[in-house]
Amino acid sequence: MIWLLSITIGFLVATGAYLVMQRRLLQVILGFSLMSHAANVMIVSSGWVGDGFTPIVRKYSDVDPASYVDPLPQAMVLTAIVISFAVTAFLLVLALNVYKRIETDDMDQVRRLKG
Amino acid sequence: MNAMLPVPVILPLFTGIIVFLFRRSQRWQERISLFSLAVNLAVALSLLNATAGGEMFFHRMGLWPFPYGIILAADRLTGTMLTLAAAIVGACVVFAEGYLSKNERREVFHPLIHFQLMGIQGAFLTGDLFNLFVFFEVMLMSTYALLSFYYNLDQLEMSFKYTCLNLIASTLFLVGVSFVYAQAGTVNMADLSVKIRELGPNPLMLLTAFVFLFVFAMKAALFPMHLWLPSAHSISPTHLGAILAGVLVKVGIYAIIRCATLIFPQPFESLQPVLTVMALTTIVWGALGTLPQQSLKRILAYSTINQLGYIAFGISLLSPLGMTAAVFYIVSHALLKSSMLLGAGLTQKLTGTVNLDEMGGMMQKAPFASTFLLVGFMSLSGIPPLNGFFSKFFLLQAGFTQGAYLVTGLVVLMSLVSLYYNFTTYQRMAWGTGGGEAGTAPVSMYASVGFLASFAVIFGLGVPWVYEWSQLVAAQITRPELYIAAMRNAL
Amino acid sequence: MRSVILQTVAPIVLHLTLIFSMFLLLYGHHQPGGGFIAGLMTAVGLVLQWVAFDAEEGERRFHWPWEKFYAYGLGLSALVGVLGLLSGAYLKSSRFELHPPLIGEVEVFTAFLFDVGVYGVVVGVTMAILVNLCIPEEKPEKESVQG
Repeated sequence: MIWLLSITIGFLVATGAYLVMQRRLLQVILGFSLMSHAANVMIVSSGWVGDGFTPIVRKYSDVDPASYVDPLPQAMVLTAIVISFAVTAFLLVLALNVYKRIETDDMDQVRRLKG
Repeated sequence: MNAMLPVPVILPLFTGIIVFLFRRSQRWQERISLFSLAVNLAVALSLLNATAGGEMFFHRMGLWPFPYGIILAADRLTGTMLTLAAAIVGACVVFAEGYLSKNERREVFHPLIHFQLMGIQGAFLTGDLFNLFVFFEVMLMSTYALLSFYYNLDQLEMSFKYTCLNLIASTLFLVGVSFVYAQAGTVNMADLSVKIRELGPNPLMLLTAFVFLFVFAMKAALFPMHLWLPSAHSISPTHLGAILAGVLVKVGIYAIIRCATLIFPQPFESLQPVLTVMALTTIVWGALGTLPQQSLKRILAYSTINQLGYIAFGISLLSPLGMTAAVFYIVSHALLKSSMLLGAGLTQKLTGTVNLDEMGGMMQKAPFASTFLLVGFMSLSGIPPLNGFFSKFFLLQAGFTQGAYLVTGLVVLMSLVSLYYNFTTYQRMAWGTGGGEAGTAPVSMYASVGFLASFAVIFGLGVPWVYEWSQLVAAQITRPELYIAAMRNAL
Repeated sequence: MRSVILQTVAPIVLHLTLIFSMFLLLYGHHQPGGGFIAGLMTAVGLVLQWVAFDAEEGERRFHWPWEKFYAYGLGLSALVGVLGLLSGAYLKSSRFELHPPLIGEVEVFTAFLFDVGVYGVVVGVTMAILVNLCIPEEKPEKESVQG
């Protein structure tokens, strides 16, 4: 299973990096969003325990605590997701405003207009 | 004192919310904002006073047991940085009151600046690597929004660039955290320090340390990642530029210091050449970058890069002596550079330009503003009675004592370049003729610039005390076992 | 792009999401749930109205002060944190057992109030982002003339 996660991370980073190198703002934003997802998956995988249970303690369960997945990275990932959500929203608003000013979201056009 | 530790985080948070709710009434917004900043400065000063004896303070958020919860910690370095941040941000807000005209998006300015302050102070206080990330993001989020303050195309583009660069850094920060967590199973700084020492040197830990160095170097604008800084300084509103140069980049430097001394002392010994090369390139790049510039703000921005290189050079010596010089440099540069950027903003307000060719004769037209800038430029270029001289002097002393002759020689050479550019800049600005008439500016602007600029003289004359304090700070941070033991005892 | 089916279903779904989000909000201390996910759930229900009708219609139906949602929510969460100082540390949660008539024993945590604050922040921020991204073309030009 950890292989699946690694491949997912690699795929997300590759796609994100490709998109970030495009000229259009929207693609750049999506690229960053994908890359931060990759980082999030990476954090989740850092608390990986073989075939761990979900870290929810039920009242009458007799599961050995050691077989739970580490919950701390999951808590951290929640924070990281919220932050990347907020930054993505901010970037979208920026891109929208750029688009409204110059009626294109091509970054090269912005530079050309600036001279 | 332990219960007071969250105050520098909570106070700006509440003020931000209240000021946001009061956004219809500018007068009340202003009053609340300034009152909160004054209280904040008082709290920071009392923390500085309390940590002076070498005692450390810890606060467990939510009373979670030791390595799991979020911990706020304060030692001498934290106290120093908090006081700097509180003083500079306070002065910048006072300045902004005069600088912004009546209806210039003030309702956004005050809440954002308080959230930014919350992020900055939280980053200084936190004793937890992941929480450092969170406070970084709080700080950066407000900075992104403040950078696009006037919403014109230049600022939108620059803010987009800055946001993208910092997003890369944030993503890498998360990657670094996952590396650390996978290896050590903790994110508490003191606990990490112990665990990493137990793990011993290994390539993965070296990579982790390098990732963190890269991330913090982005914030601190060291060589390969310095490109955002000049445009961020010159396009953004002046008071924000002053906060950027005075405090935000210092947060990056602070994080590098914490990494180098507390979290990754051994990997950083292997990374020392990398850090040294980064520092030297930054110094050279910043010094040479000033030469072709026309805008006063851009010159100051490149000079900031140059100075950050010096600070990084002090850290890269990885010794108490180097750290002392670095701390001394941080303190003097933070106050000096923010005063100079505010001074540039003052001249902009007076003459309507920051272009040096369009100024000319500022000494006659605006004697106060140019005197403040004169103090700043003299201090930057290292004229003896001012603190800029001493900060360079201690740095060179540390370099030569440790036998890094070649490297330190290069630093001396670059100081000469900085002497040259500082004087030509001031000459073009203050003497000669040309330019239009100077307007007027509110007294509060002069007061805030004068307040910050006066430290160049005060710290220059009171150099033994400041140096002794830097020595105390360095003595504490270069012995991480003190920090670890204090945290173990307290919790 | 108007779909009659979606327009008929969306208000019904809104009720369901609101109920489910309340369930998540109340459920989430020992079990999965909590302010964040409940807030997102509410926001999803509201966003669906924007999708089903258009932005103007959504604005007309739900012209709520979203910025107050997140400002007060953040304030509430931070205040609960300060209350924690009374019992030892910032953000410390206290536990109370109530015995209201007819219901029986109820466990209440101050962390629940924190979650309510988070709920407000998440709903407010999500909807504020949506509303700001949906501003019709001519509106921002009036406001942003500076610079």
